[in-house]
Amino acid sequence: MSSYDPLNPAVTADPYPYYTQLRNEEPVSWIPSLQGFTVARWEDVTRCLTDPKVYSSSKFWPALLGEYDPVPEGPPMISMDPPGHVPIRKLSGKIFVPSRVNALQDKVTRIANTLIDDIIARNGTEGEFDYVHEFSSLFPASVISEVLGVDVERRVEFKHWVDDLLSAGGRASFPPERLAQIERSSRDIRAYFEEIYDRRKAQPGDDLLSGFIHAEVNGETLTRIEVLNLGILLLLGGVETTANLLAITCSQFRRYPEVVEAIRADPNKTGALIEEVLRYDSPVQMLFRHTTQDTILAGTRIPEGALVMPLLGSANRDPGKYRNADQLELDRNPKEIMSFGYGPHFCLGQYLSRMEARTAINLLLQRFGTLVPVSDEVQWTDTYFARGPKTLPVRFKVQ
Amino acid sequence: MSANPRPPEFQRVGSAAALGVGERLMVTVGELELVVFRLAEGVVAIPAACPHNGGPICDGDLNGSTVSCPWHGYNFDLRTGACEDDEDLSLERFEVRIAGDDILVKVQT
Repeated sequence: MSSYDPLNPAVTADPYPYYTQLRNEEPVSWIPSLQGFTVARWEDVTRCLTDPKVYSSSKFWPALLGEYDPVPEGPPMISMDPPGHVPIRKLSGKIFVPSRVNALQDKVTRIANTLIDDIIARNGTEGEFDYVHEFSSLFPASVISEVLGVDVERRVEFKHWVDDLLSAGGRASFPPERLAQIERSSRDIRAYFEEIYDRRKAQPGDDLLSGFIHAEVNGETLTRIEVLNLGILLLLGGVETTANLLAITCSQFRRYPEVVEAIRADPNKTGALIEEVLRYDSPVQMLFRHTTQDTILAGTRIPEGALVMPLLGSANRDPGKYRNADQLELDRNPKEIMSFGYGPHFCLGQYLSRMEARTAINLLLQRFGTLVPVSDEVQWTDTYFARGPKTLPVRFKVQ
Repeated sequence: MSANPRPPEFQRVGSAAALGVGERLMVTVGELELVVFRLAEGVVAIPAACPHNGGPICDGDLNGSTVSCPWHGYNFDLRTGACEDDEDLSLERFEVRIAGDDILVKVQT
């Protein structure tokens, strides 16, 4: 087996054997193609994510997006350290507390049912459809559009913009035409949010972006740049990870039919399935930190200013944390998982994401008596930061 | 022998006289890490980790009786344990007694 290189498509398609090798042989490893250190074990990933004084987030966005950052004038909160990120994090965090998310349940259920109705209208009561294109990529984009108060009818564009931006981490290996596409998406998402800002500034509504424009943090309203960053970040976070979670979950339905039957028999187990899928095949595979000082991690010296990449997908498979970590087990009930990160930047929208995923999977299995990928082979997206099927043809039958 | 005999489930964690109003004391009892705050209203003991996401609330800013977690800014009223930002969250508060100069905290070890 070759060395772990996230720019290698074979690694992106199945990073897990490489993670095993890293955990066993080189838990902190220098990756020449990315000019940074990966961190593979649970304990060391935890340390990176909970010690912002040594492992700073301040260059997260430049590391991921580089010159394709749509708002390079200032950092979004994901690229800030405490205490600076706390006021804006707290402002946006209020939207995603469980009581507010639970109030969205009916709306989320309606969106999922409408998408399923559309699938049946297009494809009949049995046959095949592309689960990614017709469901999983549209559903979270629709939910976050409604939450943010942006134009839900543009959700397909949103998804393309988000896919392109999040793929920018692989820019070093992309051909010029792909880079031009990423640049267009970066420009388009910026232009869209500029337009929304102007509309909401002139005519405030009861939507989230209007709320951000007029909210006060420490007695001051947010700047235009801060609102643009917040809106784009929430769209990115809301669209991509849940879409991938839903598609990864369905991709396992062919391999684990007994799990599907168990969920059908007891829909209360869907939450357990979602947690285990999050652990088993995380929709976010790594994060980015930079050292603020010389440090030593797992016996490896890391100099000040180095790029450090905690591998969430590897930490979740650490046998020191989970027995039979490479197996998907419905009854595992993992209490701690790294899939939403940990520490000050623990995913803001994790509760919403989990609620969306449970709702969607339950409705899909309720309405489709058959829902199974047509092939064992899954075509994965070419990004190493986010992970999910690029396309997922499924056979279905309405029940 | 202590001048202030205590029930066995209570642990002495520090000196009451040494802990001024607005000050805090980090203590470990068994495997449990606690922080003890002296408020104007009395002494409060809570876990060192925030119930939201395990952040170091023990290091959080104290404003009157409100402590704010440095990771995500969640505010908790130390008098009641209530979270001002999420009604589903609350701080565990350990029973505290003052016996002479001893701060005693009731914990399961």
